[in-house]
Amino acid sequence: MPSPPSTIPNDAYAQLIKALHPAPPKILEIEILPSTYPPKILHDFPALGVPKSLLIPLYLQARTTFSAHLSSHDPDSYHAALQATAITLLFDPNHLTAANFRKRHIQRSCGKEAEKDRRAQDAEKGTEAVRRELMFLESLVTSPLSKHAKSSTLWAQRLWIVQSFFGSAARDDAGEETIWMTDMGDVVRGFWERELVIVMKAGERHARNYYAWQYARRLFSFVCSEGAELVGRKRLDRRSLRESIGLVHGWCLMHPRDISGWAFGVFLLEQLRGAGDAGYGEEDERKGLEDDIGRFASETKDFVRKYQWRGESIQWFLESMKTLGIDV
Amino acid sequence: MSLVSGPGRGGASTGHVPDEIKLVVEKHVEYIQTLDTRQDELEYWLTEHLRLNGVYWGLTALHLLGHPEALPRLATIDFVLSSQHESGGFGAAPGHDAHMLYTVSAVQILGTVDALEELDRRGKAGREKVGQYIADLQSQETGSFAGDEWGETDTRFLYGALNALSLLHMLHLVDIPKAVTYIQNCANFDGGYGVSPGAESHAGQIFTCVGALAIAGRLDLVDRDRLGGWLSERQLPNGGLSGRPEKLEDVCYSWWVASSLAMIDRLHWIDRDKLSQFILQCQDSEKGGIADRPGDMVDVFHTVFGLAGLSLIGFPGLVAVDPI
Repeated sequence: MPSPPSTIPNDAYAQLIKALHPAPPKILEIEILPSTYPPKILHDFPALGVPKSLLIPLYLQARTTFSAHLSSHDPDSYHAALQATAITLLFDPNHLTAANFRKRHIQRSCGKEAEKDRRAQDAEKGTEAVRRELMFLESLVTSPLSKHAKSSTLWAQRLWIVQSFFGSAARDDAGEETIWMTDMGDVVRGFWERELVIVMKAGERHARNYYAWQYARRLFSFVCSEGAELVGRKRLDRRSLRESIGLVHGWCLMHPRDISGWAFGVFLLEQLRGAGDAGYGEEDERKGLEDDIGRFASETKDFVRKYQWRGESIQWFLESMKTLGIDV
Repeated sequence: MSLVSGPGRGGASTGHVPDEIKLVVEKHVEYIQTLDTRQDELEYWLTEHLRLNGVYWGLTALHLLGHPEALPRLATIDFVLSSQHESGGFGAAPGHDAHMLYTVSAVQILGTVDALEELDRRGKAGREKVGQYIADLQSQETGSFAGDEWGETDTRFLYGALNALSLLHMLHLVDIPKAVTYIQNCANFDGGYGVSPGAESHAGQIFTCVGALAIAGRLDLVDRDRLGGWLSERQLPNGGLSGRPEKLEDVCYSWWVASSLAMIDRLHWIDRDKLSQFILQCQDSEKGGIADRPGDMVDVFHTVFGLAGLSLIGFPGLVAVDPI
């Protein structure tokens, strides 16, 4: 099989690998710069700029390293192949085979035992691998990389990790001891809120970001059901739900032409309504939920009136309020 | 086949749009043929992970242009078979992981060039196993389909599965009623369909859901007027179609939106003349190829869907296309 041509600036590959694997792991703000920039990596933490003219040959080198390992299965080249996948996904977030390789790596790091049965040090290694991958993915979807922010491959990767290793994913970077002292409800709530912020950032990098908001829907459903099972039945409480709705509503009013934001707002309101219908909590709590739903709708209506707004997205939102039985 | 964009641009030839734009059939044929020969170029390697999809798009475009022989048949078959895994599934190119999307493209390509029996003759896995690979990706619980072992669920995979299985005459391997129920759960109050239950309506997902219902013979379940209304709202003043509210026009929606309308007998709900004018303006009449909108770079994906859209609305000189 023919090989791609390659002309690599001497240590640029090593530089990019190092930049993409900060130790300790950190969130990066990565930009692919126009080819008019000189072929040099610009690195001023947390910002990382790679000219396209440099990224292309670096990707080709990564591809060669990765393919060679896949053919040879040589354990000595495993680590280099793994690092190469980071450059690959930077070049194209939809490179499925690279993404799958990273999932397999996390599986290996986390071992075959269930999270709760693993020895402490193995658990540590697995947790580290999970957190590192989540941070890498977060860097890609929140950076000014429009294609990455909307990539179904990257969002599916994130969901898979969260669903497969929820315990490790949900913990923040607080130390081991703190985790066991923290109320699991707080852990779940904190995790959900951080993820929602990531989705909103991605929604700003790429407007009407279908797969980012879809991830939010799927994550929400997971956290409320299986996630709850895994962490001792602590689910998202109504306070958290109401706060999320406030956050999303604010975002929607700042991005009134973003149908995906509005659609997620409707989704949350439906969940809130569902929580009310299920006879959740005291009478006055349920009334509080209804008031929240009503307020979302009426404030939106006020926005339309104030700005004489005629965009289809808000119209659609107000139509969907009618289906929830809310009079607008 | 190289999937890079360019070198041409939509509407690029003279900088002004003539009153009578023609469909430059020969230029498009040449454009696609040259994609196949750009192996020496850097760019060939940059899109390797989508290659099988690209071959399908290029081949289909050539068929629509009435030049089915323009790509070498045997080399195409060889390439497809070289991407197959023993599981029956296909990757994007040799050495790439198997996935529903590439498996569907593989079946579509082999079906188009009348070579499905090559799977039994010299594939790593025969037709039966390919069908089984696809069928095994159906969730017994929900009726939906995953893309691969990692579990991502998307109505695109459901449609792809039914499409490929119908070409293989193996629809009996899957639970059609359950798949249909799943699609119904993806229906939204606005008449549209999303990627999964409760998800936002999206023209691409609508195409997959309606197409799947068509294959399953259950178009009766579609709220045709409501969906037709949502879809026809996608036409913008310049004649182009978008995929969702307040999005820009994009030539590929000429297919996703128009064929969805055709499947529910409401293609006349959009202005077809304006749409064909828009698509023609997205051509590069000198170098061939079609872009997502005038001024942008052409690529094979937008070329095939632009042509398919034109064929669907009856543009002369193109082979007729079935909306499904």
